[in-house]
Amino acid sequence: MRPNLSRRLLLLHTSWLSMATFFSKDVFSQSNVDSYSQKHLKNLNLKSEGITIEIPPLADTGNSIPMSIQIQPTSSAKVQSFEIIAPENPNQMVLRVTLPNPQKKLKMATRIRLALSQDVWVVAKLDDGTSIAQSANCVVTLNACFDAT
Amino acid sequence: MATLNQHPIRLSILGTPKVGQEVEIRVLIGHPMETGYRLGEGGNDRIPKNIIENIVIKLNQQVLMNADLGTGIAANPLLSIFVEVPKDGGMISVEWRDDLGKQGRAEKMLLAI
Repeated sequence: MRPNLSRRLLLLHTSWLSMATFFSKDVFSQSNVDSYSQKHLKNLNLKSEGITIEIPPLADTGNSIPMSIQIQPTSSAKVQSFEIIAPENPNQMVLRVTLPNPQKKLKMATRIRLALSQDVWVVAKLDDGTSIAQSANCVVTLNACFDAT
Repeated sequence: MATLNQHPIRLSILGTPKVGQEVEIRVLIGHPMETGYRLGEGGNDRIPKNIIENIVIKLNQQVLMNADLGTGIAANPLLSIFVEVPKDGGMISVEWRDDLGKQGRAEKMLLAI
């Protein structure tokens, strides 16, 4: 029996289409990095000078952890955008801040959730095209996100 | 105390607003920031996701900061940034939008001395 080629072609093309939509994750389209995994962020080997992260080394609950960041590049470049990344969280992108007018120095604070004890990363993009990154470890005794509290 | 405003917002300016010096602008929004991972009563149903997706802080209609939030921001999100006081001060405004389409805004005058 003659195979139905049009049906096969249709299946082939739709499978590629579904794979393409699966891999083109929207979160990375605006991101400074290609992957939010801890290993990938370490392997980027970005300079850490100019970023200060203040986060408690031990937190009682991961539901609300105060965190403050100061970004002041050592070069003459200005801060264009930055991201807070928690690699062990179910949604790793915690906060992405874009500054339409790049600044020489940026100070900000917020409260974050952590699902597990982990290194929290800050990756900043500068207006000369380079990136800098810094991480800080935080141990949580009560995890957020996964429990039913 | 009960309030008619489902998502109250507080915009405060901390520090002495001297021209050329930095003041802290603190935004606190009353929002549950549900991650979509929590279980409801009895542990059967998941509480649907409902998070603030975007917060824009402006000074004199110029965008200072555009923040995209994920589920990793704690309930009742607090954002605090430090800005330099311009010569004539200005109006600070904050606008937020969540994934259900709800919006809110607040304004406060920054009086330079």
